[in-house]
Amino acid sequence: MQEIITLTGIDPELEIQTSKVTSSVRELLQKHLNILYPLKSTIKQYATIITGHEIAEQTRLSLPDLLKQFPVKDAKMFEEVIKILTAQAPRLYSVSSAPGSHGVNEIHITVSKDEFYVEDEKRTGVSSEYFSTKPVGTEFEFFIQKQKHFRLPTEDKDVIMIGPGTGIAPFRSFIAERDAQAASGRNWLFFGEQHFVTDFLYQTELQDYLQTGALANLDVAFSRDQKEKVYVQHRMKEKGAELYEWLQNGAYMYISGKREPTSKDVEKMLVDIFKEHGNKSEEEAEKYLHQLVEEGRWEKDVY
Amino acid sequence: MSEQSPVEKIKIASKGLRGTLKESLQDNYTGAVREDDTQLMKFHGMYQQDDRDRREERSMKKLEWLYSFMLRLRLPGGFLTPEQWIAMHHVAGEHSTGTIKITTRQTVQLHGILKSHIKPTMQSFNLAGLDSIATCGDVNRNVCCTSNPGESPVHDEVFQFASKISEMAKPKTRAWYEIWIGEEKIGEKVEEDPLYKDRYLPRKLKVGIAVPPNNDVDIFINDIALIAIIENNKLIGFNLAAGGGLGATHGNPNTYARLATVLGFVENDEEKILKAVYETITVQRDYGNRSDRKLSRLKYTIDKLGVDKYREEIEKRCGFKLEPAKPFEFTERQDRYGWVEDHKGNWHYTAFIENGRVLDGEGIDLKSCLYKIAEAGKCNFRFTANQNVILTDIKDKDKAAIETLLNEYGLIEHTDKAGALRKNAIACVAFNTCPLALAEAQRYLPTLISKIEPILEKHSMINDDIILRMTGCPNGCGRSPNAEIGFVGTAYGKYNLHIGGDRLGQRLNTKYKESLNEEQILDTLDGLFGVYQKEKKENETFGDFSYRKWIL
Repeated sequence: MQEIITLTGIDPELEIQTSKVTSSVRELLQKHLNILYPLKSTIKQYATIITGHEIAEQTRLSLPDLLKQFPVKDAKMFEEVIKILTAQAPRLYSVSSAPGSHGVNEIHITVSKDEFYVEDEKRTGVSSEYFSTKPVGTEFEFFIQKQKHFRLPTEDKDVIMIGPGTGIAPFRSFIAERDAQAASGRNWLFFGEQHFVTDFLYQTELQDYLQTGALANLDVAFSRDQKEKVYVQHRMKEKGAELYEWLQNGAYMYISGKREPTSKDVEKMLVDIFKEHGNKSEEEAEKYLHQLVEEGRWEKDVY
Repeated sequence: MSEQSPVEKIKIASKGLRGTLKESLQDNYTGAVREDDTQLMKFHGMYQQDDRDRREERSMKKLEWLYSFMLRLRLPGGFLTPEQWIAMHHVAGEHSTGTIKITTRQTVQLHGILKSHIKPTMQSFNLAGLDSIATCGDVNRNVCCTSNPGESPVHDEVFQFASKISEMAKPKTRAWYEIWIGEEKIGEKVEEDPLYKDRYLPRKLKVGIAVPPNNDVDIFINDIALIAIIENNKLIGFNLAAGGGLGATHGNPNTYARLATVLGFVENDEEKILKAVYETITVQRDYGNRSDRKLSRLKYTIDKLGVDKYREEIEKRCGFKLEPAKPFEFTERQDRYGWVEDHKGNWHYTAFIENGRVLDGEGIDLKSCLYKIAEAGKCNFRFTANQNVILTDIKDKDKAAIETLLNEYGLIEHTDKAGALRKNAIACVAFNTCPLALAEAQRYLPTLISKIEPILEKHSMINDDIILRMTGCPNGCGRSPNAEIGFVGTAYGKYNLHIGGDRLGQRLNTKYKESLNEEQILDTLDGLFGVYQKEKKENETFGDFSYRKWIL
């Protein structure tokens, strides 16, 4: 924020009215506006304000980057820029704890540190960086968004969970809750990450659940530990017969994680499994998957 | 009879050492094997270990301990061809920490092999004609034999016995090939094993062979020892000894280090020699303690039965008597560093490898150097029980080429400039992988020696071939109980100091001070060396002097 004020020479105490709030420049930049990675549409608008510059679309630029590369004429022009900035969007995380197991006073989330490069310069995700740099005990604002779908079935039903990476979050909550309920239905988790040694989220917890029987099956895939990439869907294929049998028995199946490519690949693999183990044609297999969706037995929480 | 130890039950139920190892390998949510299988892994040549330095950090991350496996090869007499060295070099790089660790029993260990890497590791070794069968566990371990062919014209004849004994005492099960190499199991029946039956031995068993006058293999620490008896440059037979073993347990007075007792002589008749060794094993198999593993080594069995009874039992089973032992004399217990020519005119170069750790960096690129030499294909490799390597069987015409490579990497200079104390020292592995370690050993001893050297210098003892050894716990892997100066770890940074062992490995040392820290160690040694230098008799070794002065 300080950098932006220095770059533009704007008075930080100046009150500005944006579409949502009216506040000082300082407050706006600090709390309300998305200054780290403005949307593509914002960058386009920015280009029209400063005029005379084409700004390439492919790179993720921060507001300070923009101001350095394509400076505003004066503080007045920057006021206009402030008005086009979008509000800082909330980050939605799946809750990875369960009241029955972790108590009603705790909420856990599972955050992976987002790091990427813009022109060889290391950058970090806004929210994950925020969490990772704040000391224990830091307070912040949050709200709870209720899930209508993607909820556990009755305790007697079997549950199959496919949660690679931080996609494991809701399933940690599921398993903990089912464990607390002493649910009679069985639980099966597929988890995947890059490296077994360093990336196995909640490994010891999951091993304990396996010991106590709270998890009936735990199948894991680590994509970068061998020459050929192995993902959760490959483990599903290996256990195809058993997986199909669970579904035939009325199991509920869930996936959480990235839409592309994980959830797409998983669905493709499911169709293959239904063909192989259910003696189905391509069409019948797809219908079977569709039917699972209709019955609320194939739920996706993907992004 | 008291109840059998849990390991006994695991062995008997293992169906020829198979257990649930195949299933354990498939449990891909853990880097460990199933609990009972950790015992069986040993019989296949592996120990499950974990990086103890990282336990705390990993448990904070909800990650299990960083499990990996130490794998030890079966190399009777410590022999490798250059092709095998090359294979091992690559395996070490691809699947382990990269360090090739020469052990105190003339073999090689690789550390840090993840569970998912075990099969490829074993398969690469198998292709090179190597295996790890029975290098750990309650069986006959790697057979040791005096290393340097330059020691004696009968060396080769004696050396052959190492392989013969190793083969004779190898478990008959094909489990190793099935589990690690993927060999098909033929039928459901478990292989008959007349030596090991289904119970194997009560505990590990070590066999060694020495060619006097050099006791480089530390022959008396073995459960079963053969001492070559040579007359007029001919091998006339072996003295058979039994009951050596250096391990003990802190605070358990029933445990102790013991040197092997010479039982008698067997003439140079291969069948009789092998039979005598075989039946020495079967007596231990049948009479050894199977309820308390701390008291189950052959040394306790021989003391329980009495030496005479043990001998009688061997003779009864052999169907012949042992002749009275022949006289023999050891005059040293060191490796012959540098070049040695044997009676056939072949050359052998012994290089100094501190703690047996072959790796690049740390001042010298040992691993690259030995790899280059292996690639040249002009020598074999032999390991010594002092954890060094001998480039061996070099033709006179190839000697110069090898010497050039040795000089190129500075290995000759490295060997020549290492001080006497350092060259004769041994340390066990200890931290960070050994689960038994109470204190550092291998990672610490080199620094400690650098601090002892100025004290030796001060007392004009820098060229004395004092045998100093350190173990991180009282189990004796670093053979400290028969060193002139022995350190046994008691807690992190604390060591018991033992003195009074002799230079040749024929007398155990005795605890002199308890739980010393580094400063106390250096002070104490300074004091002892001062008295030794003032009061020693001519040619009296430090070990003999300290025994006479402070122990007797």
